Amino acid sequence: MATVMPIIDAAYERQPTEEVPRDEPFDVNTVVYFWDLQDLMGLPSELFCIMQQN
Amino acid sequence: MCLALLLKGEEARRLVFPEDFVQGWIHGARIPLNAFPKSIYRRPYSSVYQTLQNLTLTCKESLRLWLIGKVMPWLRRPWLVSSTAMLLKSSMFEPDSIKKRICYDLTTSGFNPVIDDPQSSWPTIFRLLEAMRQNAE
Repeated sequence: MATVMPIIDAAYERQPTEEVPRDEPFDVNTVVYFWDLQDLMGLPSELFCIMQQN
Repeated sequence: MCLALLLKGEEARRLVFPEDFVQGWIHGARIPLNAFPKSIYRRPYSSVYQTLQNLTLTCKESLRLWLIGKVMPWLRRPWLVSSTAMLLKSSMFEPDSIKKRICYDLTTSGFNPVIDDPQSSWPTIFRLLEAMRQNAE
């Protein structure tokens, strides 16, 4: 996990911080992933394959 | 709003569930709250990152839940993000012998405490069977 966590943490650093206001209806069409596959290079192959499908 | 994107509302209608139930099944049902929860965000619990196996199984299970429409990724941070935990236990009934249970901690995130949960009781299995027998007659 020592080599994996820095990759995960770096991907989390790029997560969106803009918060949806409490009175704004949730729009299912605006959801998307905040990470890019490039962020996940270096993950063990099995984990990378799963993230690729996500 | 509790979404149920891939559940089959038509099947519920065919089973003669009330129309408002069918609509809730298709479009999601509102959970009644007695207060608005405070905004909170927490990353998954450390159990998810404890071992590479845990992390891999969590991602695999999340992928499965995404494919059946139970979870979704987000572009903007939702008002309330509950922490994820992963519980693993051996099971002879699973193909890989590991039972995986993803938990979203809605108590710690403050959602469970504000659900308007009026006093109610579930029917016992005997009351249920009796009702089914009466409907069949």
